[in-house]
Amino acid sequence: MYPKSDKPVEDMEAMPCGDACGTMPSCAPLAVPYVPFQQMGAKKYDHSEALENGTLFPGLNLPFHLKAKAANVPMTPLAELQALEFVLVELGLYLDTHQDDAQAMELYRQYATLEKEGRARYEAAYGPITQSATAQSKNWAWLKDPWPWNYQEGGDK
Amino acid sequence: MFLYEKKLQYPVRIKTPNPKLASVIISQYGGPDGELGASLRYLSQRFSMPYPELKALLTDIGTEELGHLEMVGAIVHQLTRKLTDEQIKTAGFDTYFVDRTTGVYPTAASGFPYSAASMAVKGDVLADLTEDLAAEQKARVTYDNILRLSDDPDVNDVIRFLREREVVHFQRFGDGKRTRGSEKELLTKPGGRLTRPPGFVSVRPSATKTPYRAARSGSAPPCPHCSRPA
Repeated sequence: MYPKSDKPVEDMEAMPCGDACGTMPSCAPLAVPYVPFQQMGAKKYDHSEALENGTLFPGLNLPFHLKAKAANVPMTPLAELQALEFVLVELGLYLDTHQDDAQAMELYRQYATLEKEGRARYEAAYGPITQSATAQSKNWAWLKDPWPWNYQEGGDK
Repeated sequence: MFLYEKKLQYPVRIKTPNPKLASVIISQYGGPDGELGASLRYLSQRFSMPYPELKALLTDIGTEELGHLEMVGAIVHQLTRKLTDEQIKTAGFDTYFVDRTTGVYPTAASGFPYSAASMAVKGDVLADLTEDLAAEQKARVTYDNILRLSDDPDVNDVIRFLREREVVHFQRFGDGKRTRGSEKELLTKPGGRLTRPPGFVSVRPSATKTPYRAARSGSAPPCPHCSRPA
């Protein structure tokens, strides 16, 4: 009934189960909770779709049935940066439990480069995101409005 | 240590103030299954976690939850901006208003202030991870309930995002528990500073005169998945 794979970490190319399924051991100790292990090589969204859906992985996208429609996030410069960073957060969690997935590690490297470039562009145009980045400003621009929780008339930058 | 990033994880832009809705969403700020409790739970459980991938997972998810706390605070703040005298009398919000005005305070929607009694740190790998799996489900249901109560598309986009993060975190805690071989280490190796196993070990049927004794003796090898006696 369950796929035989008891070693999901080694079975990265195999994907014995569908994309929305994970592997289970054929036998397992009693009295321990089990969640199917996400397989390596699972399908992935691009960064803007990932932000809109709240996950990088289509197989894990399980919305509430009454209000299932994904958001349509306008890709402002800020949202673009949020989307790039979101991929890093999501892949970071994935790699915590799938450290041998070389493909995911490579994707992490690529997005880390994109995020670094995106952040530099954003900070040059709209001001520092971290206090230490304020060193690049002419004055103490860390104080500049808006702060992240403030409502912006006319939309975010 | 922690450094602040002056941006949210996901855009929050609520066009229409709605104090009644704010008075239920505040529960994910300081309620029993809210983001404050989530971040404190994970960031506190880290200290007794013996394995690097679980230390990392609790650190990274606990940190993300702090970002979610900020997003929920931003929703409440934006839903309660520029209120009229009539709006502060909105049923549901009036009781919050009299105590907190439009400040964002960690409380359950039902009025109980944030309590660490709503979460647990047990210092045991299996107990803590099982707590975390349950916690993600409870937070997911709270977001389901907010979606049931809310018709504001600006709010619902953010709530859907936060809800989906609970689903992903549940998966990661499940994956995290599986990374330790087939539980061999979880069940049989010392955890943290304990000198005895953190979980439990199977008890063989007593070596005395039970009827099982004959059937079990000598033949079957230990289970390859958990190294418990077969």
